[in-house]
Amino acid sequence: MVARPTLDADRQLAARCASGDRAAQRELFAQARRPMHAVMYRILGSNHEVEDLLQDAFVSVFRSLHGYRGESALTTWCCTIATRTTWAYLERRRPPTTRLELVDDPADDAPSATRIIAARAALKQLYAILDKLEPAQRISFTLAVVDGRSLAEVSELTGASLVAVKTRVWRARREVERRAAREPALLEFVTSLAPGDEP
Amino acid sequence: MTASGDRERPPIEPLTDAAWTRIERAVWSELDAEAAPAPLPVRRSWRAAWIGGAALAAAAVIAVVVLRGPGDYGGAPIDGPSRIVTADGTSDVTFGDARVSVAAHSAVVLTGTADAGATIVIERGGASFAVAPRGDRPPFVVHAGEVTVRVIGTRFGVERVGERARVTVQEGVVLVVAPGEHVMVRAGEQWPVMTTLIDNTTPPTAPSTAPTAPTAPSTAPPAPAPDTAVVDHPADPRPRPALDPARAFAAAAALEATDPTAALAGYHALARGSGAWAANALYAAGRLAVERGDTARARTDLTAYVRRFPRGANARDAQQLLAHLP
Repeated sequence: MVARPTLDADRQLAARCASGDRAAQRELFAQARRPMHAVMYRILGSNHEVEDLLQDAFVSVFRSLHGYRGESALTTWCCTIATRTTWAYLERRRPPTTRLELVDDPADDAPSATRIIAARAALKQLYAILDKLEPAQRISFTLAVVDGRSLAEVSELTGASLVAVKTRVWRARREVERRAAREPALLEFVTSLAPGDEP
Repeated sequence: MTASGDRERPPIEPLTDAAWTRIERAVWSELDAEAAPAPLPVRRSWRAAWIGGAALAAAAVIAVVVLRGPGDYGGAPIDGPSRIVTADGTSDVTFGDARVSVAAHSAVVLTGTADAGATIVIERGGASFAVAPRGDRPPFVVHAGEVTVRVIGTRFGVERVGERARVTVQEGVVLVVAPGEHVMVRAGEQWPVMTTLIDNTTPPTAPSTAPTAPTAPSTAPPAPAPDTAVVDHPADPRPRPALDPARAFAAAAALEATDPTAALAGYHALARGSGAWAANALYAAGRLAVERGDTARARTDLTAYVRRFPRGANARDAQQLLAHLP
């Protein structure tokens, strides 16, 4: 079997990192930092706590590189660790809080300012609702629905079966829509986020 | 991995460069703290051999070069990655078209495919290799710390020493790539060329000349014990070049005023070893970090000191410094 060149390169990079090669570790850090941050941000809805969680996740990455088998891209493998780190954080976090720090306020004269502001408000409400869900449901929902990843990607990131991911997304959506029933704007926002392969 | 689909998604607020810098620094700091190895059991009567180099005061491991005779090593499949960890004995494996002999007390990762070639990472210790001439064959590359050995077709040995390595070539030629160097090493040659030789049977002097030595030990630290895995080396009876840890400590201390970053690196390299000098160096690193206002670094080093050397000469000082950190 001919291995894919990128995975070969990933395996070599992983091996060098695992040996303590700092240059290789810096290279991997540079490659993986934005994808890992994107996963965490999407699950949490803000950068609050993300700095500490990224630090934990990267340390876990470098501790675990011996286990990397090159079956998926190294960056994807790192994102699974980012997902698990965030999951563990959600499991132990009590009580839930929601802090959104999405983007700078839009200029008043921006044509879409009203729409953006409404979306921000809806997103804040959405994450407040997600705080009340099981972490497994929240993670599946945010990655599949808010971030628009395929269910297969979410399955890979969470280590859950495709069926389990579908079920979690469906249950999360049902709960979000139930809680948003009295918020037409939120309901409309959630509906607009449906990904292509969501059940 | 990116989000799929073309629907507009809520934006992701980026982290600031300062935040990324903090994260990266904290990650390296934590990894460095973990990297300091626990002392290894002392081997029999072999003299300790410390290999020279400005930043090479880390654990010194001498590899056995136990090479088979030349032969045809083609054909064995590569099912990497594999990690080989040896205890008191060596371990011989065939990896692709190479035969690898992993020295005692070593850890080596073998990675590769028949098409893409092989990559060997020496995590600690050493290994010897008998590799068919590459020609049109896929590359065979050995990494040891920051040193890379690209094989052209040869029998050779690689010993990792901290972040550096020593390469000994019996047959053929290899290309050694190290920071600032690209060197072809041929049969009968060794890289790097050592010029310093210190007999470690001579007890080191106390670091009295070190201007910033931590609470100097009331008695000179014991001679650096052969506390790293040292094995017989019958093929090469020449005395080993070495770096006296006392000198390494003094060199790092001398750099504090002019190049504190280099001084810190020197202390950390020395701290990766074991024994009294490693303890002194780890404390000195923490103390220097305090003086430079690097609280995170100081906390990491001093905490590591207290954990590793709870009865060390500077344990109380380390705890006091920790207590006063903001």
